[in-house]
Amino acid sequence: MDNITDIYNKNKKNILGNNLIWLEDFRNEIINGIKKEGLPNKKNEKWKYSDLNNINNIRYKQNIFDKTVKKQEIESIDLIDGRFYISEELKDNENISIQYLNDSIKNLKNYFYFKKNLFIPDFATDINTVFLSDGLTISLNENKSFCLNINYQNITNEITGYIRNIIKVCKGSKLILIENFTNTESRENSTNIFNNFWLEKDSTLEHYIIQNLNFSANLIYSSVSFCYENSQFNQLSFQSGSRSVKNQHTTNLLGANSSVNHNGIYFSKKKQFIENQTSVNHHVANCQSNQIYKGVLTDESTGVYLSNTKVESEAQKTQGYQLSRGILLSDNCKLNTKPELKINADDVKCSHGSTIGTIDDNQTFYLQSRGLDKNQSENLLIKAFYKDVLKLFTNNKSIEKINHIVESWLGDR
Amino acid sequence: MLEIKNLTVSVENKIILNNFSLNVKEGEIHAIMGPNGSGKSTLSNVLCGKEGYEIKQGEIKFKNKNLIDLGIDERSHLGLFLAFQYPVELPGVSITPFMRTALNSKLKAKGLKEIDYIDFVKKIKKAASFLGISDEMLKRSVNDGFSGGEKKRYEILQMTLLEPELSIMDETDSGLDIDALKAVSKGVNHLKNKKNSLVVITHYQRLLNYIVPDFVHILVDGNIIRSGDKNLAVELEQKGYENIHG
Repeated sequence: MDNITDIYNKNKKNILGNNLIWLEDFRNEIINGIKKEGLPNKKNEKWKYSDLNNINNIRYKQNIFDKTVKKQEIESIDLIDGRFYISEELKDNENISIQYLNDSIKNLKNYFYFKKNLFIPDFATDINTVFLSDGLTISLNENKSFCLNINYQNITNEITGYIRNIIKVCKGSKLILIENFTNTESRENSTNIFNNFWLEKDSTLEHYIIQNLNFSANLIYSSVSFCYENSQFNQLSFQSGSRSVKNQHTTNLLGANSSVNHNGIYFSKKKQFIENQTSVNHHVANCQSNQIYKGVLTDESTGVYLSNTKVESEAQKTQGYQLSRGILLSDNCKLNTKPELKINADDVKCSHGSTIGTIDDNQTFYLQSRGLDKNQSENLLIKAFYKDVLKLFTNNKSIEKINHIVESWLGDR
Repeated sequence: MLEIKNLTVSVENKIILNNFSLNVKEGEIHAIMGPNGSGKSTLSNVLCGKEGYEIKQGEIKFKNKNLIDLGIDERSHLGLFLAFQYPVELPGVSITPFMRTALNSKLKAKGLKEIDYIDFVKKIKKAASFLGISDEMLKRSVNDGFSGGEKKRYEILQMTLLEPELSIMDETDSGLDIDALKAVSKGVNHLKNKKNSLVVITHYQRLLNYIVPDFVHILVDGNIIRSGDKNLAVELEQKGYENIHG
């Protein structure tokens, strides 16, 4: 804990928003809260299965904005060495407003303090607020369609990034947001991202997280989303990289007929640790949610998937479904999975399912009997295993990218 | 083509096939009939190389190669095909890419040129149409949610595409209504020529009205107790297994 206070005091001047009194007060409030509660530990059910070496290892390094960095793609935003670079073309686009958080934060007090009961207090997001280094505010105007790529790619070693993005999809609009995480060369980078998504009435967000960082990277990715009337949020999280990664996605269904699909696929090998957590809070009636995660693990890797559906007493006619499936390819890998349902309404359809197993020998035998070798058979079954998780998603380029990463993962195993 | 000599096989120390011998020549159709638990499915699984069976003694030669030394896929490349009694469901595995991979594995093993996607689609559609399989069914995952009849048609479709030299049909007639039985038999007879051979494993004579065997063998307690021509199946149907003696 002293470590967090020391790092904060030492770097205070460089942290984003250091000149805002309300933000400094908020940060002090958080730090005092952590002092009182202590660091996350295994005694707390919430952190029981987490990799605390990643969560509690707080580092801060000032990142320098380099004006000479040139963007490769017009329709994308790049985060390089912890700093965002937005192309002039995107800044000038009439359909979408994209700003650096540094320019917009002074007007965002309400977003940081927004209905605290909907932002479940969490150590990872608190630390993000304390050490904030960069971020974006994005707003897609009413009745527009847009596809936006954000590429996270650190080039230098030992970069730390505390990134906060506030993304709004206005009434009647559709945003396809693709977040790509890659870093082939750089070592020992740590990134903590906290995204907020606001889906106004009749809007759609199709969100892809494609994470293929190298095995020296640590990542904590949190998202909290708010879905208003008749909005649709489809999120696909694909995880195959990082030494240790924790993803936690929470959606609040606040408007009637809103729906969310938290879908995920993860592949882990060597000594990787991949944790995924999804939770959906049904606040009003007639909403739907699905939380479907499938994982393939091998070597000595560890996977965690925790899902949660909470139905408030007003949220009648809720449909909530959870599914977790895992394939273990080695004797030394492990997967911890725990579905949770907290239902306070009486007219709902909610269910959960969870399976962990190996590849079915009878299926492999069938394929081999047709001439495929054992590896080909197993790989075909693995690709078939996660296919249905993708079926809602329309961005072919992203799907191809995921399939390509899987091909290469299977080729190396 | 297939020579099985004095084969004894056990599962978890229980003898299932006991000193079993069979000789199938090029172009012949052999029917193996037997009651439940006589070792029929064990025979087909052992021929195809499924794990979990202990070969205590004997040898199996297929096209003069020792089959026991070969892997499951290598046996398929050599020309062996098993039409499963219970074809497994493969959710998410589409028939077209799967069968193209299967055929190309075989062509590659033989040192032949692989088939490209467009040519393969033409080939599978033609074969499917002959078996009464719609284009819509070709888009579904292999055997996923299929009826018994649909699964067996899919087996014959795969057999058609792989053009095996020896096919083992393990109780292909089980779970089939009369129309499906006729469609499946039509497909098998269409494939049959003087070069390829069939081993038809069945409980009943019914299938043998459509796929007419050259030889009928009766398998009891892991051994053939009697062999004959197609009339033996008729006799068996009348008398039952209990009254047939070796």
